[in-house]
Amino acid sequence: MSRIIYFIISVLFISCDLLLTAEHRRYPESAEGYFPVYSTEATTTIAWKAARAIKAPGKIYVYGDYLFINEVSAGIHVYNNLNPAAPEPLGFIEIVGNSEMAIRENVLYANHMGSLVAIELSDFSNPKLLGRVTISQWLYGVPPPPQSYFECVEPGQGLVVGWKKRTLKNPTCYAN
Amino acid sequence: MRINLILLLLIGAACGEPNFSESQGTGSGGSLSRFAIRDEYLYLVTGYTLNTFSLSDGSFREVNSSTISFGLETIQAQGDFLYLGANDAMYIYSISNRAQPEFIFRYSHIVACDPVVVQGNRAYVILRGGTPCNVGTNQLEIIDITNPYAPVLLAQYAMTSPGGLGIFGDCLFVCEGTAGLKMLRVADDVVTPLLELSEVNAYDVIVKPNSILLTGEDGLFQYAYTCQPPALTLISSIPVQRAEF
Repeated sequence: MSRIIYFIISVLFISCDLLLTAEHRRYPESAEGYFPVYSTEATTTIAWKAARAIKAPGKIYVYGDYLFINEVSAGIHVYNNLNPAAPEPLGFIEIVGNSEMAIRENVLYANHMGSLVAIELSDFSNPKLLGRVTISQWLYGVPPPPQSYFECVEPGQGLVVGWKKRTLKNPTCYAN
Repeated sequence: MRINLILLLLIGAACGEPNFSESQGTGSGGSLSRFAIRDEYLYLVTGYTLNTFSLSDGSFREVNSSTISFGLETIQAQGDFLYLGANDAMYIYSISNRAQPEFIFRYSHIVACDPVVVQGNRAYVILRGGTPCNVGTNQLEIIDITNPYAPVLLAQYAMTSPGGLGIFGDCLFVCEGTAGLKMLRVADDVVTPLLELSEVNAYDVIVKPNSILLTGEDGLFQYAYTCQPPALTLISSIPVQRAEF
């Protein structure tokens, strides 16, 4: 229950003038906007996938000759950066809801939504999940695109991992 | 000429198998990271807490979670200290006892303050204004942290829209979003502008001895650099494939 409250607080912080706007904005009956894509840890697994194009790069991490690039809320691109003039894509570690990472002694620590997972990386084609621990007060979801109407978030449905464009009826949330 | 040498060195290094290890056992993240590893502990900041995880074999668990303040965004670990970047302050914690971070100092501002990088006894702090939540100045501050209980402001330097930053030696790189990347000299705590890349969108940077990795909305870019004489040369890029939300 407290996690839900903290999530709501975090959403308010993401667009901190949301409340103010709600009082003054006149909402249309219908508008182009975004609806949230929810996910939960129970419905997603961590998997090694073929290399894919980068669409929304997030944080980066360097470990030895390897380069890790977060794909916002989707996972981690892995490159062999031995030759920085031509980084070679190796693959993609699918971790829905991921935003953060760090590596120690060949073990990747990353957030899988609200959990910290430890993944053994010595063999890229076979990442092994070593452990999973809940992160107290972790509450991040992807904020809605700015200057747009969006379907208000219902935290009970899971973590927001993305937004899809849609015509919204009677929208009551707007991101500044 | 020197750049060519560096490029040759970089290319020369590109023979053989990739090395999947680090001398310290951990890698490097950008200044905007919420994770920091020190020995067998991982420290992370949520929106308002500092959490400590034990990474020891067989005891992977959260050992501590302390409420700090709302608006926490970044964390850096160096030596026996953690440096937390928040909207309203930089927090210094001691990790002499790795399992239990201890509050040392809150370096506060009336304006927004965010990422911090530390090198030796200097902290380089970004103050970020003009967000919907905060109106203030955009600047870089150099702070003497020799005594972590009494940090001393040494220098201020006006920026445009600063975000991630990184340093090696006297060379400091500051990401300025759509205003590009700035390369500054910070020798003797005097900030001198060296170079500017205005055509890139710059979000965060990892600075290595002879090269940088830069991320932004357009992708990931690697540059070779020298501080003296100032020079930046693009080595490679991994462009993004644009996507609709």
